[in-house]
Parts: sequence; C-alpha cells; structure tokens
Amino acid sequence: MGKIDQLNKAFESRVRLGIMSILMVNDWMDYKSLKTQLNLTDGNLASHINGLEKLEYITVRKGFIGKKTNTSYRITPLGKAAFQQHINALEKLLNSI
Amino acid sequence: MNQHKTQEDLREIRRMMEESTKFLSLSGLSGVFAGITALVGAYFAHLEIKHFSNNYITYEILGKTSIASQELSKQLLLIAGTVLLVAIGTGFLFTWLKAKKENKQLVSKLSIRLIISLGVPLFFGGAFVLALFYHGFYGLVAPATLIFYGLALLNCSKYVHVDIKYLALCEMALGVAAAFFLYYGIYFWAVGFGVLHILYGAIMYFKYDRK
Repeated sequence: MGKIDQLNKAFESRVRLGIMSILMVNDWMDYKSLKTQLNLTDGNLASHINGLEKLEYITVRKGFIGKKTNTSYRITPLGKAAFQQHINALEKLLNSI
Repeated sequence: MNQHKTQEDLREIRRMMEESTKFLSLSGLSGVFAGITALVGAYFAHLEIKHFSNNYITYEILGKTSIASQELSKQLLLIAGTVLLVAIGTGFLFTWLKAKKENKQLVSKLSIRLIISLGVPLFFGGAFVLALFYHGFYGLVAPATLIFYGLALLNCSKYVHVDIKYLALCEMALGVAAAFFLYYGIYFWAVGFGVLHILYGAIMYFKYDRK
C-alpha cells in the first residue's frame, strides 16, 4: 500500500483541501475572502486553519484596516511541498486504477 | 480511499484554484449587448459622416467647412460616449445578474484587480487618443482605440477565462490593419467593437453560462 501512504492525512477534509488549493495560487488571502470563497461558517474555518497552522503548512499575519483586525494567511514552503505531494499521490492513485 | 473520493478531491482542488484566481461572473451576454450597441452606434456615426461628405461642397461654398467639421466631431463624440455608457451599463447589469444567480460576490479583491488591470491601459490609451484628437489626427483614432483595447484585454486575461486572449489578439490585429487603411476606420471599429464582441460573447455564453 505504498501509494496510499503518500496521501497526507492532514488534507483528508474537504475544507483543508479547499484552503490549501486557494493558498497555492493566491499570495496572502484574508480570512473573509477565504470564508466566502469556501462558503463556510466562522467556527468551521477557524478550526481547520488552526490545524494547518500547527503543522506549519500556513503562516498567519495579523494587521489592521482602520480599527478592524485583518488576518491574512499564506502557504509556507513546507505546506506547498506537502500539498504538491498530496496531489501527486491522488493522481497516481487515480491512474493506477 | 476510493476512486470516487479521489476524483472528487482533484476536481475540488481544480475548482478552488480557478474560482479564487479568476472572476468568472463576467457574463457572455454583456459582450453580445456591447457588440450590438457598438454596431448601432457605428451606423449612426456612418450616417453623420455620410451627411457631412454629401454636403461638403455646399459647406465649402458657404465657407462653413470648419464649423461643420467641428459639429461632426461633436456628434461623433456624443455617439461614442452614449455607446460606451450603454455598453458598460448593460455589461454591469448582466454580470450582476449572473453573480446573483451563482451566489457570488461582485465586489471582491479579484474584481477590483480585474478593473485596475483593464482600466490602466484604457486610461492611458484614452489620453493618447485625446492627444490625437487635439492634433487633428482623426484617422488614427480608430486604430489607436482598437490596439489599446486589445492591450487592456490582454492585460486582464489572467483574471478571466483565458479565451479572452483570442479576442485581445483579434482587436490588436484589427487595429494594426486599420492603421494601414486609414479611411476605413469606422468599418474596422464596427468589426472590432461590434462583430467581435457579439461573436466572443455568444461563444462565451454557450461555452460557460448556459447550463
């Protein structure tokens, strides 16, 4: 089962897959845009973001726009590599069937 | 991990990557209507020009040529302005309707980026065309607008469906051709802003919008 081992458990959830996909192609994405893009509720998104942050797949930047906090996210090189590997594994899996 | 989930995952990844980087709510119908508006405008402009050239000798005899030609360029500017407003208005309306139907935001980082990438070349192109007007190089107005419009489209092509590149190339090619055939500017204009928009809009509508 070598092929399945390459699939990253961290990306099993559809939400995390979505977050990573968006951050792969967008530099610094703010929380609100991420939320509307993924069509999610606050709690749901926040917990998945925390999970990815803990793995150091994404980094956080907190800033202010006026008085409102504005939190943005960016994928890390580690996250990029991990996600790339995950996609490759998915493709290999599909081709082998 | 079954095959179905794998396929779904890959599809989701592709969809998210595309949707987050491209403004896909731009409606094909807005292209069609912009094209029709441009054709109607070109027809009225053609009438004005014909009227002027038919009466040219009379104007010469009466010594009113410069007044009449000023009047003509005023009329043409009015037509151009009206066409632009109607085209942008309907374009906005159809895009708004499509965004509403698909439950998408109209104002986002992406649509602002799109407008800036489209607007910067158009602004400088427009200023350049005003300079042409100022110096009386009326013949170069049509080629210049077509070329700058093509460049603007090319510049924003990374934010919309890639097909817009072909429209951009056609507009620029037409602009260069128009520069060689200076006195047929109005026809090149009608093709570039009318026919091409209708064609492109219709193709986009059938390819992406109609489900």
